[in-house]
Amino acid sequence: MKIRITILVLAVVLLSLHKTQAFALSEGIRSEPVWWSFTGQEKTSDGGTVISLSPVYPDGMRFDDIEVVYISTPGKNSDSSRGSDKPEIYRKKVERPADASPINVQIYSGRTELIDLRGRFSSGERVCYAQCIFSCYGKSGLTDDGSERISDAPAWRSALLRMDDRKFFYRAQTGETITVASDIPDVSVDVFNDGDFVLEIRSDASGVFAYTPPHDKSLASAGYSAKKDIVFGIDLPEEAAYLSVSIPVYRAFYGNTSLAGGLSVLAASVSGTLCFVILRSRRFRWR
Amino acid sequence: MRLSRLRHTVQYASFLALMYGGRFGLRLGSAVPCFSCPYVPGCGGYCYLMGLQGYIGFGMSFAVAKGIGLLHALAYFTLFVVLVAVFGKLWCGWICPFGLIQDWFSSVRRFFGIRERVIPFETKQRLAYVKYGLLVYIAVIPPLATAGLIHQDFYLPFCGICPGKSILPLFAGETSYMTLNFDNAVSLGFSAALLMTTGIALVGMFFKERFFCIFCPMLALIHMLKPLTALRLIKAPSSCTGCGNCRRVCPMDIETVHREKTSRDVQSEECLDCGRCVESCPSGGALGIYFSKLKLFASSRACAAETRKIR
Amino acid sequence: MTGDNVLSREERFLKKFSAGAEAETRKIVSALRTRLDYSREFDYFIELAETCGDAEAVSCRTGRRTVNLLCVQAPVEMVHAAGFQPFRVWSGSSAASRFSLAAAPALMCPMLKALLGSLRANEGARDGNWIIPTTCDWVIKFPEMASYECPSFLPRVFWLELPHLKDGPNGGEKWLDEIYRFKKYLESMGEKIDRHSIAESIELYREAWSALTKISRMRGCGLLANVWFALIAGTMFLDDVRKWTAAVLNVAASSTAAYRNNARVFLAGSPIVFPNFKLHLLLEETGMSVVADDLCSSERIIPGAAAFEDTSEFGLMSALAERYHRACLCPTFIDNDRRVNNILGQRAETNFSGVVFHVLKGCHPYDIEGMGLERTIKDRGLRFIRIETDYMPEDERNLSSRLEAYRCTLPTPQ
Repeated sequence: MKIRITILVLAVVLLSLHKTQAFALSEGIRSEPVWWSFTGQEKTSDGGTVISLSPVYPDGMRFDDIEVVYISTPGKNSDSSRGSDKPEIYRKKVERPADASPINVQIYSGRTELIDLRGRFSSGERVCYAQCIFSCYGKSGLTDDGSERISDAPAWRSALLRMDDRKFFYRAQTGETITVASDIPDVSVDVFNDGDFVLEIRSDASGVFAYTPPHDKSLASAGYSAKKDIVFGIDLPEEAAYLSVSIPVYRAFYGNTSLAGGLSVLAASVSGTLCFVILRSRRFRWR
Repeated sequence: MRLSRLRHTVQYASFLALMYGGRFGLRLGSAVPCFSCPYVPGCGGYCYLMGLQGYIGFGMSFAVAKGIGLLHALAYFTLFVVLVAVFGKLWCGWICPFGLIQDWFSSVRRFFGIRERVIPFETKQRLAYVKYGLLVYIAVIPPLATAGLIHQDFYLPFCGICPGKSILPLFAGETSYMTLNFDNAVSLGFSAALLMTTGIALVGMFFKERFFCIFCPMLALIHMLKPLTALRLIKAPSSCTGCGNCRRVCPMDIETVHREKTSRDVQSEECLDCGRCVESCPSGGALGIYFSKLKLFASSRACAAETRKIR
Repeated sequence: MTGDNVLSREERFLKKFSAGAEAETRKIVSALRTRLDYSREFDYFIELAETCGDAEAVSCRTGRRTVNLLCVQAPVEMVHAAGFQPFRVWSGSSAASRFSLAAAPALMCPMLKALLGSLRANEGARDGNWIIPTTCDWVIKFPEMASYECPSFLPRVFWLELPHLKDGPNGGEKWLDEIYRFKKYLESMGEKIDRHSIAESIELYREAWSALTKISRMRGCGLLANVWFALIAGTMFLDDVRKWTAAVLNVAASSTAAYRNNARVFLAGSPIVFPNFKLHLLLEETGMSVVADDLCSSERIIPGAAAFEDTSEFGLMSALAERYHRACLCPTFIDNDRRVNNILGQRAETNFSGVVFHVLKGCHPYDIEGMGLERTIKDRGLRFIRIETDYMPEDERNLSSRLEAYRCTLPTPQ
């Protein structure tokens, strides 16, 4: 009986601890974070590959002003269809929704390029800077998505993302460290995995922080283009601002591979074929 | 300059360009009609077979077979056709990096004096259908994957089993395709199949000259465009003494050139336009490589006499 | 000798043969040395030709034991690789031909008749091993005829059974079997034939053929008279192949232009062997230049470079086998329709306007094949003449008249 009571008490304590943790989490994001999230599958249309993104923000949040720009940098092996190898900056017109309907941004891509999408969402005195950096492999010649080309990026406060140089693979992968450089030293950074808070990390003295998303079984079992969002969020109460960077993270190319296993299969294949050739050669009569 | 020396020079130059050219800014696009493997980090251009399976070909699926998307695919296909029309099978015999690697294997075998295995004529005829089967495989599987009817990892089904994918990246220090991929059943199946075909290809390439070319769907694709190609192997049957040199030196063991007694066009399906037969033919003008009506190189007794075959 | 200063019938014949053969050789050598286009580079070949029937002299010269080869189908490279000197035995001596009259059928091939006479006259010539491919009937029955005089001859013959259907389904395989049997035979007498030794021999004979090709082109351009070409080609197996090749290259380096204005003809048919250069000289005298030929005694003395990619022992053996079988244009083959291609193919290079077809009396395969060839050649607008003769000099005037008449039908190149 005593044991049962003890278990019951422990259960109540654990439950309350969980609740407290949940509250703490809600406390952690109470500063109304905003980040970009991919919506739906990439589509190929007459106008190019269409990538849709929507800002994720707490229910009921209303924005006074929304500004969106994106910087397009051609990929290293891109057969540039826009005719330029230099980064180009475009402004997207995004209507502020009068009701609670979702905001949707579509980017048309016609080449291999790195897109740095930046959004400024102001709500009262608070401002959220949401950034999303992703590669796309555009599949069409026309990319006119109604964007307006501008000469300089607006001078917002924003974290800067610097991905480690993978030379020829542009996609962020699970199991690989994502390094982000910001100009805010020693700050707490919230890491979200597909919208769920995972952990809190801190930037170092130079403002750099890093995170290695673990391999994900659900991504591994899905197709090669399955991805999830990893979001880094930084709350700056003194500036009444919230910064976020979203990165689409794909299944690791080599996250679940075995070189030893591969070499074993190769050795077996070589041995089998060799045996076949040698056994067939026994019929050879000219010696 | 002897033809084979010229061919070797071109082979090495194109090997360097296609394997490492990307590191120096060379971008030949996605319509290269040979195994310029996209899995080689820093390659100079992409094998058209990948494009054909993927985003400029069947992989686009029927859903986008309209508008600019289709035009984009057609543009690449046109570029491929033009490249094939101009260079024909030179892509196979003179340019393909995987072809050069196969030649290296043969050189090692020759160095050790190991006998080349002969594939019986009937077997070879049956094996000739494999490359067309692979073309059908390339055409059917990617749209199914794009349409979601089968797992997405079927998207590049030929690359999944092409030994070029595992062997060529090794020359750029990339060993990742020598691994088993346990992500899911499909990726495991493909990685295992790739290593199986790699093993077969490695042994095959050692014992049989240009072994992989017997099965290469690119060769089949180029051959299907034969009516458009200007480069031809032409025989003057009335000059042939039937010595059999052409058959003996042929890396693909083609009999047609030797046996043909009436037709001038001896550009057969397997022919790689390597020109070895022309070089070794002792009958003056019996064999020649022509670009349309222009004679590029013709056989002569003097050339055959100077062709040192012992290496 | 049967008595004091009394010679037996056989001895009288022998003496007469020796004197006749010597006079014959002297006559042609003298004719060669007094030619306007004679130069010292030809001396080497003339001296070799003077000893053309003497296997022992060849053996001394090369330091290798000779293996006698009849016809052109046995791969000389293999003989060389086994440590022997290939020695192509044939004879063009009319004296020797006469000497065999009693031992040979009247209508026998003059070349084999002469060879039989040489064997009768010279016991030393019967020694050694004989490699005989089963080509024409005369060749097949030749050892039997030789064994009447010398019973030990037949056991020393190695028969190479020649499949007479070159492009047949099994011809190549059967011939390869024969070649491997030949290899074992050679190895049983000499050194082991491995891929290195055979590759070396192939290379040596490729270089020899390459040198021959050079002077063949010179002949085609009118820079070398056909008589010299025939002499040079016919001496290929009478010395070390390296020395011979060097001497040929020497000739190639020092050319003398001659006979540019003669009518250009192609010489086809039965072999013409030293010292029987009757037809060669008659053609010149009647104003014709042989710019190309397909005689197995000169242009086809070896089939040419054996091209191969497979450097294994099997690869080299099969390359040799095929080169000596498929490339052979001997009329004893059933499917020899490509023979005419060789003639027509060379027309583009040498621009001849007529074909002289030489048939040795009794040489049935050439006799038969000449009929079809005549039709094809004439269909192509070329002039054709068939010359049937033997080693005897009696028909020279008759031949000369016919050739002169033929010459008149040919255009003279400007």
